[in-house]
Amino acid sequence: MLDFKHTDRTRREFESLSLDHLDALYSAGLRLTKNERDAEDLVQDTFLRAFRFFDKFERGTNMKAWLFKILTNTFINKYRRRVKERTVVEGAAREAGNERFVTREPTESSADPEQYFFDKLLSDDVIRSIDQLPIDFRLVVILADLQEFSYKEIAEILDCPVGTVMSRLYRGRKLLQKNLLEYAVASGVLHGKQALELGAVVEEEEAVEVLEFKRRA
Amino acid sequence: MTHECRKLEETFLHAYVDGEFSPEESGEVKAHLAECPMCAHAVRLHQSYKAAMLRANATAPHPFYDDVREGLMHEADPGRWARAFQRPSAIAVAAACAGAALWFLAGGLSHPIFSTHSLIEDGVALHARALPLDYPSSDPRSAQQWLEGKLDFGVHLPRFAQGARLQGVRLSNVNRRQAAVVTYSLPQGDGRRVSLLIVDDPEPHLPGAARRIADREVWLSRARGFNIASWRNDEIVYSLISDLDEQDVLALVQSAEMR
Repeated sequence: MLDFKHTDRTRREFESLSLDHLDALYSAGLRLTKNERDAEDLVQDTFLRAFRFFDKFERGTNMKAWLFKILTNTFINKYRRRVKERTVVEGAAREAGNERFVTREPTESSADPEQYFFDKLLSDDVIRSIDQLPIDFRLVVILADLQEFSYKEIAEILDCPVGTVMSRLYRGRKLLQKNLLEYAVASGVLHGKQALELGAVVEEEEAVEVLEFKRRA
Repeated sequence: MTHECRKLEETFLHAYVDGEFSPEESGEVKAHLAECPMCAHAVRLHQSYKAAMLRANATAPHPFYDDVREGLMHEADPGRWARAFQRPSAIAVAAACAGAALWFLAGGLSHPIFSTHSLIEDGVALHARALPLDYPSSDPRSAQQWLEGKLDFGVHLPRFAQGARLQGVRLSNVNRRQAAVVTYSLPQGDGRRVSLLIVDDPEPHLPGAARRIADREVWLSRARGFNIASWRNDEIVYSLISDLDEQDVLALVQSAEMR
């Protein structure tokens, strides 16, 4: 009975620290697994694992980062094999199109901050563009741009050097923005001409590398 | 606007927007931005990108909070098995289970109706929740094309002669197997919804009572107020889930063209 009370108190403590992050974990889980069902399974798994290892959690340190480390590890070990990557097929067909990325050239259409291309985007297009990223890029983009973790935190979550985080983040964002541009043109948010203004031809080398990466992913 | 400035660009300015710099460093960047329209533009562009990304965050469905809490509660209960078997009622239940198992082994049932068929359970849950579509489309051919390559198995999206209009498809899972949920709306009522669950279910028995409709073996069952009609096509299971009357379900199934 004493033991039960102890576990119950631990559970309450765990809940008070962890449940605040449920939305964040679910949102990330959804973009990792790409469907609600798997996202719920993944997050449920994450909570149970975290609770089992709660004694390993150093009180006073970053709970959100700790939970995300468990989430990403669980995903990589268990779900990644199950959730078939859908980027390869769709990506290959799109590769035939223009290789254009958003640049920092100021353009007429973006002179007014209100008119910034990204401001007009539909969240559905953003989601589809994230979902199309190969997993290694997607992970970093989710952690940095959906969850606003620092580079150092991401490096700790993914167990990789900060430099790797930065280069993956940079390339992931470029790929994502390319997809977004295409969606924006397709859905009429952006006219083809504006897209051309925003776009810049990617150097051959980089395009090849991206293709290479997609093939491996 | 020099070439050098271009090089300093992206990763550096991204890091600035991402909040990676100390206050002093940020001050230096700010001073530069005041003088360099190109970098200032890049910063604003990246800020608008980040804002768009944040808007794309999802929130967990409300019941899921309870699911997680329940899971933790169960996990936290250390003596859940030990205690269960200390209670006399549990022993009675266990004995009854053992008896039932013996009866079953002796051939007490001709078909396993008591196994909660996950196809029905999950199918009805998916239908009832009406989750957003992954690919909204009224064109069966483009929806089918979209599904190809995303599933381990091939599918045929049936056409229904009865005026059921395709709304779109979403990917899902039934019992850890890939599945597609196809949503149709019917002309009657105000667009009553019908879901067609497509799954590669190796379970040899389909749930319910068998009927022969349009040269097809169709199995009818009911769960949580929905009627379910299931059949196989090329080994793949198709389950039509709706709140239509059995008669209307049968008519709909009869009109299904699988080609």
